[in-house]
Amino acid sequence: MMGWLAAALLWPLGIGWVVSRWAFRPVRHRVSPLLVLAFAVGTGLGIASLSFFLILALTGDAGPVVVWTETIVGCVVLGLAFYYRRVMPPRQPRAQTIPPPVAFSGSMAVLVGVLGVTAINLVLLSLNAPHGGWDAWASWNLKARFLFMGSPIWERAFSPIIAWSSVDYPLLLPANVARLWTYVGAEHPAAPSLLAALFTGATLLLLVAALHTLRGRWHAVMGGLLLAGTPYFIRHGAAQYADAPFAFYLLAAVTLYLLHDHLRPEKPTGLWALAGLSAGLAMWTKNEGLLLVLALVLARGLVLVFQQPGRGAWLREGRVFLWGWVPVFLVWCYFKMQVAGPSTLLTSQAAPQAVAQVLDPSRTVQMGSYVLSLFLRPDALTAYLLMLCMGILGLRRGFWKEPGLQTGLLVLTMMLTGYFLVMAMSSADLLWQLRTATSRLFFQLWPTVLLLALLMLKRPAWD
Amino acid sequence: MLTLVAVATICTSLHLLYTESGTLHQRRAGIQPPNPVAAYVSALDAVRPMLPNDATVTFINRQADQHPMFYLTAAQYALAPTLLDTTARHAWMLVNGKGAPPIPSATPEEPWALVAAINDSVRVYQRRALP
Repeated sequence: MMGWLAAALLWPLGIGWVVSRWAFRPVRHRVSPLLVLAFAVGTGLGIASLSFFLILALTGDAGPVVVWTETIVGCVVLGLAFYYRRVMPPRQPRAQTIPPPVAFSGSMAVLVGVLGVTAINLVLLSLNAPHGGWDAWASWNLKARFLFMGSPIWERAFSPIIAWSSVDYPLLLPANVARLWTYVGAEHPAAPSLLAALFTGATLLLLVAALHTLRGRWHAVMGGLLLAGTPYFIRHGAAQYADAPFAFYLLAAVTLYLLHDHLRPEKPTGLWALAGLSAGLAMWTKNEGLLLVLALVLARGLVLVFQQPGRGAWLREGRVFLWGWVPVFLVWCYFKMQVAGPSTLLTSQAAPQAVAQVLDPSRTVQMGSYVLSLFLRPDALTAYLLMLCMGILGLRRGFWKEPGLQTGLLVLTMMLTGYFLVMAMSSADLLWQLRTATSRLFFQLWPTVLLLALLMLKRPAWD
Repeated sequence: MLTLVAVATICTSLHLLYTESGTLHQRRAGIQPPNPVAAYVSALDAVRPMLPNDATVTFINRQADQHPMFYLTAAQYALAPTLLDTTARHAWMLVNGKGAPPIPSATPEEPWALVAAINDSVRVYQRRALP
């Protein structure tokens, strides 16, 4: 069984590696392969879920057709890559072709040790709750079971009769789980557990590798320790919810803009396409992804239009962003128009009532006091440590002038505002919604918050 | 600063390790139930007299042996009686699974008929069983 699971992961990891390496091509000598690997995991799993859904929608079969199609496509891509390497003349060697080595120090050893314990914790959490948390078995894995059954049953997953299972939510996670089950040939709980661990691990790796590239070792170690030291991140990461992939894609999209601005002299325009793909995959993960795409486009526009590069730069970026985003958007449109069930969020509330709820101060106070109460929980320890870091080291001078950081901060602000508005407008009981959703929403933002906060920090004198 | 964060992270990671390995050990030793199978079985047995088709329950029980997730689902819902009717929807999933034997009320034309029937029975049960 584990052999089949490993075989099933070869295709997404391979295709993710090819796409990510292409995006990083002009700057590959300046970034660690671990950074490319982190992007490869998320990108590959996203593409695999899209292809699984398309095959299922076109053929109605979730069985051998998937395996054969992926094998043939994999062989063609390998053949083309081999041909390309043989036909194309070797490129001129660069002055510096080896990525900067990651110096192994005491702090790195501590980080590696903590990450090892984190991996064991993920395994233990999965063994103790093999079917994940409530939403995992009542929504995400339930959809995966329908998809795994193939035609004609799979479309019943979106029946309004089971509207409680969020029948309008997109399929990145369920399609990936069903794809793994297709390879294994059974609904084994190891598949969703493995995916949860992969996304949690890739988020950790991405944060550490991005901070190492952008700021250096001290920041990378600090970021890794703070994220791994957030118990809620690890517990929720193992819960098989779609919030873990969403957190990854949000972090990936923001990181790619930061990396682009950091490596700007070498014109790594492929990173914009990868940012577009990441934003699209966030949209394919959860409905909040639509908010992320709007926030990214608006934030980048605000940053570039009112600064030196101007509107032309925004449009140039936007065009390349669309290369990555449009393919996912087309699949998303097909899903929303032809397959998905009605959205309870949009259909259950009249507009005047929704506006009245947003303007109701008592709801705002209730939300604010609930969010404040989250800071009294043990999980908030890392937030206090981060604030302590900022207080002791201080903020870097002139960080607010950097377009990448401005973009990230604006995106976070818009996401928080969007979450507030959606929660305020919802017809569901506010207290129930606060109890069930607030922590998960913070979970989605937390890796990106850590990235941006640590990038604002001064470099310590002893680093 | 890094040392402080490292110590805090090591403590929280080890605490999580201790808690989760303790839970796993207790489950393996039988101190904690491995999963709420008993709750599921007792809930379903209590509902059994109300169900329209005894063969359906037998089938659901047999299927549930092969689908541990449904034990958990049903048990969770059984433990929260206000949500018990949702169990029937999951039961529909079992009935319509691959290789399901033909059940008259679960025809492709009317896939939710069985759900409706079980739901009604469960509601009757709830009215009788709950104060």
